[in-house]
Amino acid sequence: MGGNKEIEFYNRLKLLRAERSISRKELAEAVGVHPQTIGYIERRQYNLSLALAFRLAAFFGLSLDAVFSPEPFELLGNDVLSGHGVA
Amino acid sequence: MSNHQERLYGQVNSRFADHLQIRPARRAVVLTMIATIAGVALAFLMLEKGFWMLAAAAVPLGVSMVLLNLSLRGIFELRDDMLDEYQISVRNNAYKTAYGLTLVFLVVVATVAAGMELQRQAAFAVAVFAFFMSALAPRMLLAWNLEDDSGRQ
Repeated sequence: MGGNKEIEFYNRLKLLRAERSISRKELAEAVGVHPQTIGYIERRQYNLSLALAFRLAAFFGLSLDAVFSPEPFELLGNDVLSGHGVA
Repeated sequence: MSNHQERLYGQVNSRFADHLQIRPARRAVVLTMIATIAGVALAFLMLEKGFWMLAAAAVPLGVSMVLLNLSLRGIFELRDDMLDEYQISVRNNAYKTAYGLTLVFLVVVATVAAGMELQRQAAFAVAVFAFFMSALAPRMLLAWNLEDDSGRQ
């Protein structure tokens, strides 16, 4: 049966962790997974469940679509430039 | 959580286990496992020379089993509530893939063995080899294929 093709999700986990100086281990402990699993999610080698996606977004205090997207995220530099009316 | 499971969880997440969880190490463990299974089958074949051969073959098999479980962070041994969703997902996929492969493997082994008109002891050795290979197929398959966790930090 068609229509069941898996969607790959892009995410900003690595960026958010770097921004807030949070290790994979700390994030993993906060959301109840193994640190390796965070690595697999960051590298898009594993499509996580909706429940875990919500836990991760909540940990960073952001909405789901600020952390995960079915489309590639805009480069941060582009966001900053357009925000300042430079681009 | 039982004491045994707690102890196991500690062991599979130890520094020592970390060294076994890179792909070359995992693949080496799988090859060692296959060799030790063949050793056990061989020991059954030469059982008339004494049971000590069987005991000698069982020790490396046990050691290989421990190493294989460590290399997979015990995801086939630990209870579901001690694993996360990724670990459960790869474990279930390994069972699913191994099921099909094991069926084909057993049919091939049975067909070949039937055509060879093996003696009782040889047939027993083949059965032992096929049993261990089938029973451990999900573990070996996953250990062989699992992606490395690059970029640890």
